[in-house]
Amino acid sequence: MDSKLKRICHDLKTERPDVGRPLPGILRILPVGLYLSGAAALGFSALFLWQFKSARESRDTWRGEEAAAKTEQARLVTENDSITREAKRAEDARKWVQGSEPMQELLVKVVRSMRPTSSLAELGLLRDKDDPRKIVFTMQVSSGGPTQLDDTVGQLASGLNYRPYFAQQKQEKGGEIAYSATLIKQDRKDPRLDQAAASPAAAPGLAK
Amino acid sequence: MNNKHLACVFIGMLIFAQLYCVVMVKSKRDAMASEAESASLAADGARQQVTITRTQLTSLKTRTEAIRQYLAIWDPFLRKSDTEERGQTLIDDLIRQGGVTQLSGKYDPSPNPGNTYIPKVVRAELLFEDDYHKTLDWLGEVERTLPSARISKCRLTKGTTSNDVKLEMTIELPVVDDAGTATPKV
Repeated sequence: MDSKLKRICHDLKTERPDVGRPLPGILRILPVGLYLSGAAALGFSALFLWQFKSARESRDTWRGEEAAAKTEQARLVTENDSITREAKRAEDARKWVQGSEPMQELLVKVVRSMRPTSSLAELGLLRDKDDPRKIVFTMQVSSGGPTQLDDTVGQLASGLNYRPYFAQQKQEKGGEIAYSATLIKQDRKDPRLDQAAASPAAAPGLAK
Repeated sequence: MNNKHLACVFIGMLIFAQLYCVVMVKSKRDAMASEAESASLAADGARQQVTITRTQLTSLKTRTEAIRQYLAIWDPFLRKSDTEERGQTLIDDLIRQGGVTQLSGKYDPSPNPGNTYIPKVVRAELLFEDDYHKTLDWLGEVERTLPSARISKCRLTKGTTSNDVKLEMTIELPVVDDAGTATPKV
Protein backbone atom coordinates (compact mmCIF):
# COMPACT_ATOMS: atom_id res chain seq x y z
CA MET A 1 0.00 0.00 0.00
CA ASP A 2 2.72 2.46 0.97
CA SER A 3 4.73 1.71 -2.12
CA LYS A 4 1.69 2.28 -4.27
CA LEU A 5 1.11 5.73 -2.74
CA LYS A 6 4.72 6.70 -3.23
CA ARG A 7 4.49 5.76 -6.85
CA ILE A 8 1.36 7.86 -7.39
CA CYS A 9 2.89 10.86 -5.64
CA HIS A 10 5.98 10.55 -7.68
CA ASP A 11 3.83 10.51 -10.76
CA LEU A 12 2.14 13.82 -9.73
CA LYS A 13 5.43 15.71 -9.40
CA THR A 14 8.31 14.33 -11.24
CA GLU A 15 11.74 15.86 -11.41
CA ARG A 16 11.97 18.06 -14.53
CA PRO A 17 14.94 19.83 -15.99
CA ASP A 18 14.81 23.67 -16.62
CA VAL A 19 13.34 24.37 -20.02
CA GLY A 20 14.95 27.82 -20.45
CA ARG A 21 18.06 29.58 -19.29
CA PRO A 22 17.81 31.53 -16.01
CA LEU A 23 17.36 35.34 -16.33
CA PRO A 24 20.48 37.50 -16.04
CA GLY A 25 21.30 38.61 -12.49
CA ILE A 26 20.98 42.28 -13.40
CA LEU A 27 17.22 41.85 -13.81
CA ARG A 28 16.95 41.32 -10.08
CA ILE A 29 16.95 45.10 -9.97
CA LEU A 30 13.46 45.10 -11.46
CA PRO A 31 11.47 44.21 -8.33
CA VAL A 32 13.69 46.53 -6.26
CA GLY A 33 13.08 49.26 -8.85
CA LEU A 34 9.36 48.63 -8.72
CA TYR A 35 9.25 49.11 -4.95
CA LEU A 36 11.51 52.15 -5.06
CA SER A 37 9.63 53.78 -7.94
CA GLY A 38 6.33 53.05 -6.22
CA ALA A 39 7.52 54.78 -3.05
CA ALA A 40 9.05 57.68 -4.99
CA ALA A 41 5.92 58.05 -7.13
CA LEU A 42 3.78 58.27 -4.00
CA GLY A 43 6.10 60.78 -2.37
CA PHE A 44 6.53 63.00 -5.39
CA SER A 45 2.87 62.81 -6.31
CA ALA A 46 1.93 63.90 -2.80
CA LEU A 47 4.44 66.77 -2.96
CA PHE A 48 3.29 67.89 -6.39
CA LEU A 49 -0.36 67.67 -5.40
CA TRP A 50 0.29 69.80 -2.35
CA GLN A 51 2.13 72.34 -4.52
CA PHE A 52 -0.69 72.19 -7.08
CA LYS A 53 -3.29 72.98 -4.43
CA SER A 54 -1.17 75.73 -3.01
CA ALA A 55 -0.71 77.27 -6.49
CA ARG A 56 -4.45 77.00 -7.16
CA GLU A 57 -5.26 78.81 -3.91
CA SER A 58 -2.70 81.43 -4.79
CA ARG A 59 -4.16 81.80 -8.30
CA ASP A 60 -7.68 82.15 -6.91
CA THR A 61 -6.50 84.77 -4.43
CA TRP A 62 -4.78 86.77 -7.18
CA ARG A 63 -7.80 86.46 -9.43
CA GLY A 64 -10.00 87.71 -6.60
CA GLU A 65 -7.68 90.67 -6.10
CA GLU A 66 -7.68 91.36 -9.82
CA ALA A 67 -11.48 91.24 -9.92
CA ALA A 68 -11.67 93.61 -6.94
CA ALA A 69 -9.18 95.95 -8.60
CA LYS A 70 -11.18 95.87 -11.84
CA THR A 71 -14.38 96.66 -9.96
CA GLU A 72 -12.65 99.55 -8.24
CA GLN A 73 -11.23 100.65 -11.59
CA ALA A 74 -14.70 100.61 -13.15
CA ARG A 75 -16.04 102.66 -10.23
CA LEU A 76 -13.22 105.17 -10.56
CA VAL A 77 -13.71 105.43 -14.32
CA THR A 78 -17.43 106.01 -13.81
CA GLU A 79 -16.72 108.68 -11.20
CA ASN A 80 -14.11 110.20 -13.51
CA ASP A 81 -16.61 110.32 -16.37
CA SER A 82 -19.24 111.80 -14.10
CA ILE A 83 -16.88 114.56 -12.93
CA THR A 84 -15.72 115.25 -16.48
CA ARG A 85 -19.35 115.51 -17.58
CA GLU A 86 -20.16 117.75 -14.63
CA ALA A 87 -17.18 119.98 -15.40
CA LYS A 88 -18.35 120.24 -19.01
CA ARG A 89 -21.83 121.20 -17.83
CA ALA A 90 -20.28 123.70 -15.45
CA GLU A 91 -18.30 125.22 -18.33
CA ASP A 92 -21.49 125.48 -20.35
CA ALA A 93 -23.27 127.04 -17.39
CA ARG A 94 -20.44 129.52 -16.95
CA LYS A 95 -20.57 130.42 -20.63
CA TRP A 96 -24.26 131.17 -20.23
CA VAL A 97 -23.85 133.12 -17.02
CA GLN A 98 -20.95 135.15 -18.38
CA GLY A 99 -23.16 136.14 -21.28
CA SER A 100 -25.96 137.19 -18.94
CA GLU A 101 -24.42 140.17 -17.22
CA PRO A 102 -27.16 142.53 -16.03
CA MET A 103 -28.22 145.19 -18.52
CA GLN A 104 -30.20 147.37 -16.18
CA GLU A 105 -27.09 148.78 -14.53
CA LEU A 106 -25.77 149.76 -17.97
CA LEU A 107 -29.01 151.53 -18.85
CA VAL A 108 -29.11 153.28 -15.51
CA LYS A 109 -25.48 154.28 -15.77
CA VAL A 110 -26.00 155.79 -19.20
CA VAL A 111 -29.15 157.63 -18.19
CA ARG A 112 -27.53 158.94 -15.02
CA SER A 113 -24.50 160.12 -16.93
CA MET A 114 -26.64 162.57 -18.89
CA ARG A 115 -26.21 166.17 -17.88
CA PRO A 116 -29.31 168.29 -17.30
CA THR A 117 -28.62 170.10 -20.56
CA SER A 118 -28.20 166.89 -22.54
CA SER A 119 -30.93 164.80 -24.00
CA LEU A 120 -30.99 161.15 -24.97
CA ALA A 121 -33.16 160.13 -27.93
CA GLU A 122 -32.49 156.43 -28.04
CA LEU A 123 -30.45 153.85 -26.25
CA GLY A 124 -29.90 150.32 -27.45
CA LEU A 125 -28.05 147.29 -26.12
CA LEU A 126 -27.78 144.16 -28.21
CA ARG A 127 -25.82 141.07 -27.30
CA ASP A 128 -23.61 139.45 -29.91
CA LYS A 129 -25.11 136.08 -30.87
CA ASP A 130 -21.76 134.31 -31.11
CA ASP A 131 -20.21 135.85 -28.04
CA PRO A 132 -22.89 137.18 -25.69
CA ARG A 133 -20.29 138.86 -23.50
CA LYS A 134 -20.00 141.46 -26.25
CA ILE A 135 -22.73 144.06 -26.22
CA VAL A 136 -23.38 146.27 -29.19
CA PHE A 137 -24.15 149.61 -27.64
CA THR A 138 -25.96 152.29 -29.63
CA MET A 139 -26.94 155.71 -28.42
CA GLN A 140 -28.44 158.79 -30.01
CA VAL A 141 -27.79 162.02 -28.18
CA SER A 142 -30.10 164.86 -29.22
CA SER A 143 -28.16 167.51 -27.39
CA GLY A 144 -25.01 167.55 -25.36
CA GLY A 145 -22.48 166.90 -28.06
CA PRO A 146 -19.27 164.90 -28.01
CA THR A 147 -18.44 165.87 -24.42
CA GLN A 148 -21.59 164.13 -23.25
CA LEU A 149 -20.56 161.04 -25.18
CA ASP A 150 -17.11 161.09 -23.62
CA ASP A 151 -18.67 161.42 -20.17
CA THR A 152 -21.03 158.53 -20.74
CA VAL A 153 -18.43 156.18 -22.18
CA GLY A 154 -15.99 157.17 -19.46
CA GLN A 155 -18.52 156.34 -16.75
CA LEU A 156 -19.23 152.96 -18.32
CA ALA A 157 -15.51 152.21 -18.23
CA SER A 158 -14.81 153.49 -14.73
CA GLY A 159 -18.06 152.54 -13.03
CA LEU A 160 -18.90 149.21 -14.62
CA ASN A 161 -15.58 148.16 -16.13
CA TYR A 162 -16.93 148.04 -19.67
CA ARG A 163 -14.47 148.95 -22.41
CA PRO A 164 -15.72 150.19 -25.79
CA TYR A 165 -14.28 148.67 -28.96
CA PHE A 166 -14.93 149.52 -32.60
CA ALA A 167 -16.53 152.81 -31.60
CA GLN A 168 -18.22 154.83 -34.33
CA GLN A 169 -19.65 158.29 -34.05
CA LYS A 170 -21.80 160.08 -36.60
CA GLN A 171 -23.17 163.58 -36.59
CA GLU A 172 -26.70 163.58 -37.95
CA LYS A 173 -29.12 166.23 -39.06
CA GLY A 174 -30.31 168.55 -36.30
CA GLY A 175 -27.14 168.13 -34.25
CA GLU A 176 -27.92 164.58 -33.12
CA ILE A 177 -24.97 162.34 -32.55
CA ALA A 178 -25.29 158.61 -33.23
CA TYR A 179 -22.73 156.55 -31.35
CA SER A 180 -22.14 152.84 -31.52
CA ALA A 181 -19.50 150.61 -29.96
CA THR A 182 -19.00 147.06 -28.82
CA LEU A 183 -18.77 146.90 -25.05
CA ILE A 184 -16.78 144.13 -23.41
CA LYS A 185 -16.59 143.70 -19.68
CA GLN A 186 -13.04 143.37 -18.43
CA ASP A 187 -13.31 140.36 -16.21
CA ARG A 188 -10.81 138.62 -14.01
CA LYS A 189 -9.09 135.50 -15.21
CA ASP A 190 -8.89 133.46 -12.03
CA PRO A 191 -11.93 131.15 -11.94
CA ARG A 192 -11.84 131.10 -8.14
CA LEU A 193 -12.32 134.83 -8.11
CA ASP A 194 -14.89 134.52 -10.87
CA GLN A 195 -16.71 131.96 -8.83
CA ALA A 196 -17.16 134.28 -5.89
CA ALA A 197 -18.10 137.14 -8.16
CA ALA A 198 -20.44 134.97 -10.15
CA SER A 199 -22.51 133.92 -7.18
CA PRO A 200 -26.08 135.01 -7.94
CA ALA A 201 -26.28 136.49 -4.45
CA ALA A 202 -23.21 138.64 -4.99
CA ALA A 203 -22.78 139.14 -8.72
CA PRO A 204 -25.80 140.81 -10.11
CA GLY A 205 -25.11 144.11 -8.46
CA LEU A 206 -28.29 145.57 -9.78
CA ALA A 207 -27.52 149.12 -8.88
CA LYS A 208 -30.29 151.53 -9.56
CA MET B 1 10.01 34.77 -24.72
CA ASN B 2 9.13 32.82 -21.61
CA ASN B 3 7.06 33.67 -18.58
CA LYS B 4 10.03 35.20 -16.79
CA HIS B 5 10.56 37.61 -19.60
CA LEU B 6 6.90 38.50 -19.64
CA ALA B 7 7.02 39.15 -15.89
CA CYS B 8 10.00 41.47 -16.38
CA VAL B 9 8.23 43.37 -19.12
CA PHE B 10 5.16 43.67 -16.90
CA ILE B 11 7.20 45.02 -13.99
CA GLY B 12 8.95 47.44 -16.34
CA MET B 13 5.62 48.69 -17.56
CA LEU B 14 4.44 49.19 -13.99
CA ILE B 15 7.54 51.26 -13.22
CA PHE B 16 6.97 53.29 -16.39
CA ALA B 17 3.31 53.86 -15.51
CA GLN B 18 4.28 55.15 -12.05
CA LEU B 19 6.82 57.52 -13.53
CA TYR B 20 4.32 58.68 -16.10
CA CYS B 21 1.77 59.47 -13.38
CA VAL B 22 4.37 61.49 -11.48
CA VAL B 23 5.30 63.42 -14.61
CA MET B 24 1.62 64.14 -15.30
CA VAL B 25 1.03 65.43 -11.77
CA LYS B 26 4.17 67.57 -12.03
CA SER B 27 3.07 69.05 -15.34
CA LYS B 28 -0.31 69.92 -13.83
CA ARG B 29 1.46 71.57 -10.91
CA ASP B 30 3.66 73.54 -13.29
CA ALA B 31 0.66 74.67 -15.32
CA MET B 32 -1.11 75.81 -12.16
CA ALA B 33 2.01 77.60 -10.92
CA SER B 34 2.20 79.35 -14.27
CA GLU B 35 -1.48 80.36 -14.01
CA ALA B 36 -0.87 81.67 -10.49
CA GLU B 37 2.08 83.68 -11.77
CA SER B 38 -0.01 85.12 -14.61
CA ALA B 39 -2.83 85.94 -12.19
CA SER B 40 -0.34 87.63 -9.89
CA LEU B 41 0.98 89.77 -12.77
CA ALA B 42 -2.56 90.61 -13.90
CA ALA B 43 -3.54 91.59 -10.36
CA ASP B 44 -0.44 93.77 -10.05
CA GLY B 45 -1.28 95.42 -13.38
CA ALA B 46 -4.88 96.01 -12.33
CA ARG B 47 -3.74 97.48 -8.98
CA GLN B 48 -1.31 99.79 -10.77
CA GLN B 49 -4.07 100.88 -13.12
CA VAL B 50 -6.30 101.61 -10.14
CA THR B 51 -3.54 103.70 -8.57
CA ILE B 52 -3.07 105.65 -11.81
CA THR B 53 -6.80 106.20 -12.25
CA ARG B 54 -7.19 107.24 -8.62
CA THR B 55 -4.39 109.77 -9.03
CA GLN B 56 -5.99 111.09 -12.21
CA LEU B 57 -9.35 111.31 -10.48
CA THR B 58 -7.89 113.21 -7.54
CA SER B 59 -6.17 115.57 -9.94
CA LEU B 60 -9.36 116.02 -11.96
CA LYS B 61 -11.35 116.69 -8.80
CA THR B 62 -8.85 119.31 -7.65
CA ARG B 63 -8.61 120.87 -11.11
CA THR B 64 -12.37 121.14 -11.58
CA GLU B 65 -13.34 121.93 -8.01
CA ALA B 66 -13.79 125.65 -8.61
CA ILE B 67 -15.86 125.24 -11.74
CA ARG B 68 -18.00 122.51 -10.15
CA GLN B 69 -18.51 124.74 -7.15
CA TYR B 70 -19.59 127.39 -9.61
CA LEU B 71 -22.16 125.00 -11.08
CA ALA B 72 -23.38 124.01 -7.63
CA ILE B 73 -24.03 127.69 -6.87
CA TRP B 74 -25.70 128.48 -10.17
CA ASP B 75 -27.57 125.26 -10.85
CA PRO B 76 -30.66 126.09 -8.74
CA PHE B 77 -30.95 129.45 -10.50
CA LEU B 78 -30.49 127.94 -13.94
CA ARG B 79 -33.14 125.35 -13.14
CA LYS B 80 -35.73 127.92 -12.19
CA SER B 81 -37.08 127.75 -15.70
CA ASP B 82 -36.81 124.00 -16.12
CA THR B 83 -39.47 123.85 -18.83
CA GLU B 84 -40.61 126.23 -21.53
CA GLU B 85 -44.02 126.67 -19.87
CA ARG B 86 -42.40 127.41 -16.52
CA GLY B 87 -40.14 130.02 -18.11
CA GLN B 88 -43.09 131.76 -19.71
CA THR B 89 -45.03 131.68 -16.43
CA LEU B 90 -42.09 133.19 -14.55
CA ILE B 91 -41.88 136.13 -16.95
CA ASP B 92 -45.65 136.60 -16.96
CA ASP B 93 -45.69 136.62 -13.14
CA LEU B 94 -42.93 139.22 -13.02
CA ILE B 95 -44.78 141.44 -15.47
CA ARG B 96 -47.97 141.11 -13.44
CA GLN B 97 -46.19 141.79 -10.14
CA GLY B 98 -44.30 144.76 -11.58
CA GLY B 99 -47.46 146.29 -12.96
CA VAL B 100 -45.68 147.71 -16.00
CA THR B 101 -47.78 148.38 -19.05
CA GLN B 102 -47.07 145.75 -21.64
CA LEU B 103 -47.81 146.63 -25.24
CA SER B 104 -46.90 143.31 -26.76
CA GLY B 105 -45.31 140.00 -25.90
CA LYS B 106 -44.23 136.97 -27.83
CA TYR B 107 -42.72 133.75 -26.50
CA ASP B 108 -40.71 131.33 -28.56
CA PRO B 109 -38.69 128.30 -27.58
CA SER B 110 -35.45 128.33 -29.50
CA PRO B 111 -32.33 126.20 -29.59
CA ASN B 112 -29.12 127.28 -27.92
CA PRO B 113 -26.47 125.68 -30.12
CA GLY B 114 -23.06 124.81 -28.72
CA ASN B 115 -24.28 124.39 -25.16
CA THR B 116 -25.13 120.86 -24.08
CA TYR B 117 -26.16 121.88 -20.57
CA ILE B 118 -28.59 124.52 -21.81
CA PRO B 119 -29.72 123.19 -25.19
CA LYS B 120 -32.86 125.33 -25.33
CA VAL B 121 -34.00 128.75 -24.23
CA VAL B 122 -37.36 130.42 -23.91
CA ARG B 123 -37.13 133.69 -25.78
CA ALA B 124 -39.59 136.42 -24.86
CA GLU B 125 -39.84 139.49 -27.05
CA LEU B 126 -41.57 142.16 -25.00
CA LEU B 127 -42.55 145.76 -25.45
CA PHE B 128 -43.46 148.05 -22.57
CA GLU B 129 -44.33 151.66 -22.13
CA ASP B 130 -44.48 153.10 -18.68
CA ASP B 131 -42.89 155.51 -16.27
CA TYR B 132 -39.08 155.63 -16.57
CA HIS B 133 -38.37 154.74 -12.93
CA LYS B 134 -41.01 152.05 -12.79
CA THR B 135 -39.82 150.45 -16.00
CA LEU B 136 -36.14 150.42 -15.06
CA ASP B 137 -36.95 149.24 -11.53
CA TRP B 138 -38.92 146.41 -13.03
CA LEU B 139 -36.04 145.52 -15.33
CA GLY B 140 -33.73 145.43 -12.30
CA GLU B 141 -36.23 143.25 -10.48
CA VAL B 142 -36.29 140.82 -13.40
CA GLU B 143 -32.51 140.53 -13.34
CA ARG B 144 -32.48 140.13 -9.57
CA THR B 145 -35.24 137.53 -9.47
CA LEU B 146 -33.97 135.62 -12.49
CA PRO B 147 -30.21 136.07 -12.39
CA SER B 148 -29.79 133.36 -15.02
CA ALA B 149 -32.00 135.23 -17.49
CA ARG B 150 -30.15 136.75 -20.39
CA ILE B 151 -31.41 140.03 -21.74
CA SER B 152 -30.17 139.78 -25.28
CA LYS B 153 -31.73 142.96 -26.57
CA CYS B 154 -32.80 146.12 -24.86
CA ARG B 155 -33.87 149.32 -26.56
CA LEU B 156 -34.99 152.37 -24.68
CA THR B 157 -36.76 155.20 -26.46
CA LYS B 158 -38.92 158.09 -25.44
CA GLY B 159 -42.52 157.33 -24.58
CA THR B 160 -45.64 159.17 -25.49
CA THR B 161 -45.62 161.33 -22.38
CA SER B 162 -42.67 163.20 -20.94
CA ASN B 163 -41.80 160.79 -18.13
CA ASP B 164 -42.59 157.62 -20.03
CA VAL B 165 -40.14 155.41 -21.80
CA LYS B 166 -40.65 152.66 -24.29
CA LEU B 167 -38.67 149.56 -23.52
CA GLU B 168 -38.27 146.94 -26.19
CA MET B 169 -36.48 143.89 -24.87
CA THR B 170 -35.72 140.25 -25.50
CA ILE B 171 -35.27 137.96 -22.50
CA GLU B 172 -33.88 134.47 -22.84
CA LEU B 173 -34.47 131.98 -20.04
CA PRO B 174 -32.32 128.84 -20.01
CA VAL B 175 -33.99 125.44 -20.18
CA VAL B 176 -31.53 123.02 -18.61
CA ASP B 177 -31.11 119.57 -20.09
CA ASP B 178 -31.97 117.07 -17.38
CA ALA B 179 -30.84 113.99 -19.29
CA GLY B 180 -28.54 112.08 -17.00
CA THR B 181 -27.92 115.00 -14.76
CA ALA B 182 -28.61 115.53 -11.13
CA THR B 183 -27.99 118.37 -8.76
CA PRO B 184 -24.21 118.58 -8.73
CA LYS B 185 -22.30 117.67 -5.64
CA VAL B 186 -18.84 119.05 -5.05
